[in-house]
Amino acid sequence: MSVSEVDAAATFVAHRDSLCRYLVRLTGDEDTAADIAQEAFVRFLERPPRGDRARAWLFTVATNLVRDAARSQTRRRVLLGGEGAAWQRAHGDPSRDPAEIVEGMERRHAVQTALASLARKERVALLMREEGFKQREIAEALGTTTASVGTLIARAAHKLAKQLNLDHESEPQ
Amino acid sequence: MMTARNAHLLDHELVALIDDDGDRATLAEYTAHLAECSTCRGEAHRLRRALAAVSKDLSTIDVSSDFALPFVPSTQLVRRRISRQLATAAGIVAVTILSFRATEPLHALAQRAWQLLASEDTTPRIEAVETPTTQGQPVRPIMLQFVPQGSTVLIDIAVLQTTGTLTIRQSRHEFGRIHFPAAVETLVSESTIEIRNTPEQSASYVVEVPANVRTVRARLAGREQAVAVPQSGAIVLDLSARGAAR
Repeated sequence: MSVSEVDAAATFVAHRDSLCRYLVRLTGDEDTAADIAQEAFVRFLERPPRGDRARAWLFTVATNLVRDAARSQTRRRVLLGGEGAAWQRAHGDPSRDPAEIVEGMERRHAVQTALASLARKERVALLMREEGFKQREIAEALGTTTASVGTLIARAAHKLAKQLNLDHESEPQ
Repeated sequence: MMTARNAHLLDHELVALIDDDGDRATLAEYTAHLAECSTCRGEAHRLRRALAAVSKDLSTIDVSSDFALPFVPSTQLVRRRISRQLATAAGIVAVTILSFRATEPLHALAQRAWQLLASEDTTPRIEAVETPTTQGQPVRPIMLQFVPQGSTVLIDIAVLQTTGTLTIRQSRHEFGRIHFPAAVETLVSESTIEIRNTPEQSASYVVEVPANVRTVRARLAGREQAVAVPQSGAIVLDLSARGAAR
């Protein structure tokens, strides 16, 4: 592995957790998320971005890969369908209370379903914000304006809160 | 003193205010408006609560503990690189031919293209896919992937420890994995895992080997034993000085 590839790998590893979490939430499926994260990694190794844009570059590439994957018929069955292996894996943890596992799975499923009901740009904007990106960076990833990103985030948050029956309508004290 | 604007704040301005995402002057303008406008104050409150509630619920969706990136065969990386190089080389050949009007012998051009192809290192690699986090964050175990070259893997553990175990089990993947604490230096190559631990350590290690590996040679403080890899379940070896002495 050349020096530049070692640097690229270290950079990727530094952002891996955040990227994978984002992809799991975006796709609803760990296997798909892993495939896409790995493909982003390979592209990152092949053509590392210049400057300090690595994180935004990785998320943008991964977001585009998810979009492309969602277009393919084979992926569509998996993406956002809630049938992924992610929450099924929870069964394998013997240290957790079964009732707690079921409750957690149900909540996770509800959140994933609510996420899936959002428009793609709303979902991407909300999830990238969750990973700490600024509106300007999200706008670059989505190919839109900063003002649009704020609207997407606000709309997505209100939709999710409503679907998940989260109490967010009360007036300030 | 900042003058509050008259128009209501837009969604992206509210989000910017909540996330502290913008320059100081602009955010101060939004804040000043909020102080005077009950409509925007209410809207900001609703949005802040929605974002907080959604954020809390999103935390239920995270990668599972056994999440791992799939292994990329080195051949795939090499193939992709060669494809790119071929395209580059073809372009160089074409430009050279045009520039020199084919006065240079063709075999020399072919040789130049081949030299370009062979110029980059294309040796197989082992991918590191996990690293400890720093800056006060909890340190997660490191996981490394490896691809055994034969049917045996050697695990060489330098010394007996205060406490700890070595767990050996079959991998669900076509590659092997080792999980180990960040505090322990580990060298992983094809078919050999070298763990450079210290006697003071209380560390455990999990080694998963693919199905083609039948036997693991566990060398513990210089003493070697062969361990048959179970098809299900796991073999657990005690690495503590007290346990190993029994």
